[in-house]
Amino acid sequence: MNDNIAIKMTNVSKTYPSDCEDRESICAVENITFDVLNEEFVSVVGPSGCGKSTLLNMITGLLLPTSGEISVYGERVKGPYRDNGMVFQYPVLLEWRNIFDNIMLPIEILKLKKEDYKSQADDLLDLTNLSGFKDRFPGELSGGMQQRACICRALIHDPKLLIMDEPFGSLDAMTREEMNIALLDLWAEKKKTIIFVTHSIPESVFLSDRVVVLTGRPSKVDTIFEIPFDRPRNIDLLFTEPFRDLQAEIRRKIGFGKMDV
Amino acid sequence: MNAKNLIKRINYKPLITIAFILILWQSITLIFQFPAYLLPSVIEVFKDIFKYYQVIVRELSVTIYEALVGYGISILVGLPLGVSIVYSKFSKEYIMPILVMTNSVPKSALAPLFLLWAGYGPTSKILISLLMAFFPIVINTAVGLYRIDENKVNLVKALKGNQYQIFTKVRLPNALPSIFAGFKLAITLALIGAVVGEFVGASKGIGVLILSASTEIRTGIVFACIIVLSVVGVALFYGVELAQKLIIPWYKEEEKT
Repeated sequence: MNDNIAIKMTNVSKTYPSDCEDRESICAVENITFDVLNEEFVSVVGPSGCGKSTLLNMITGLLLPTSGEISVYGERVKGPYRDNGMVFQYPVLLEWRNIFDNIMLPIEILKLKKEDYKSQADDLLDLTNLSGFKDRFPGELSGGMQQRACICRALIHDPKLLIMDEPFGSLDAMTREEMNIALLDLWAEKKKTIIFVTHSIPESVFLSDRVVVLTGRPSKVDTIFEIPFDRPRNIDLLFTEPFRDLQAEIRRKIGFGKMDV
Repeated sequence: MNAKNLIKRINYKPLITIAFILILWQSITLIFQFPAYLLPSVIEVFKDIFKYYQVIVRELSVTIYEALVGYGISILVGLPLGVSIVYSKFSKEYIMPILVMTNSVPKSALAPLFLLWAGYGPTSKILISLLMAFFPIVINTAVGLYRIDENKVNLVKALKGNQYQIFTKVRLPNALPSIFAGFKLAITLALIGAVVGEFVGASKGIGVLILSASTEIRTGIVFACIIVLSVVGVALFYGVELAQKLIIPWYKEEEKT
């Protein structure tokens, strides 16, 4: 088929029988259809609710859709597969391992040769400014640094797809900005396909090639926005009129301060 | 983090508190002139420790032996059982609730029963130690393995990791702090179990010595036994704590704010 498509989602729905995480009512994702192209950076935004995380978990293969189909690089997703890296909403690191060993975890799980990936690890640490910290333990690092280590780990086995679930939500505003720039630099260097969930509309516009807006529960695709700005992008873009207009348009789609259903 | 470093870093301040308590005790006995059979002075007690040192050590060795054997068996049996509770639905639903319920039952009350079943010798004391040490080990192991940030497991699952990898790389290291907490509770209980067993019926052991000294109203010896027993109890506890600091040096008991 078209091998320029990284993720192909067709009529993907997910219904939970009763409880869903911390919500009492049924949370569902309904008839999601969109594609993510190879080496594209796509953000998914929408009101608070289970939908976005559920979608990402289905893309990783940790959850299966109730109906519909997800294919990643032409292969139908039937369960977890190796060609992706995931970054969660907060740093998930193993406290008993130092940063270097944490980053190497996927190599161990995949039963690959550690020596082959040492230079990749050093390279990633360098790109994320963590080189001096490889022997430290997670408890010794700040939240931002921990999350950067998680990004390194997600990329160590060189997957084609990077899946990020509100990765910067737990950080303060300034660190978040730094991380956005760092992520764009990393993406320019490593050329991955990235699907990125966020609550922050400016963040989604700043980072992405396209922004997918989901409705409230049951989440459906509302609109997909093309982000026209040239790369490389820098922080000044945030204060330009076209940026602010686009942001406002997306916000209108979601609804000003409308609480999720 | 090696043993020498750790021993250097021991906090000696609590010893000052103990010294203060001993001085206070001595002063009270001097001031109030209690009869020696009620409250002997510190000096009397330490005199008795030195005088009867050999007897105390001989009897204490029996007790320590009983406690350690009971402790060792409780670990050998308790650890695998704790693991099975997490991995076997049957264990989790039928066995764990019973353990949690009967945990609050004072197992020392069963001591006379064990005496009946296993006799006057060390076996009955080992069984009581075992029974008392067993509970915290199984419960803490099960809870430690069970209580984990799901995403740590997802990390491995998302890469098609198998159950063995999840267990060895994530669940088990994550559980070690809780398992060691269980070990520490258990060593204390094992020693208590041995002593209680000796109180109920025995011919050898520190419990026997304490009882016989108290029936002869030789309170100095009673205190002497208690003090030496306490020192040993503390030493055993800190022995386990030392093992903890060597095996899981990354674990910090206080939360960083």
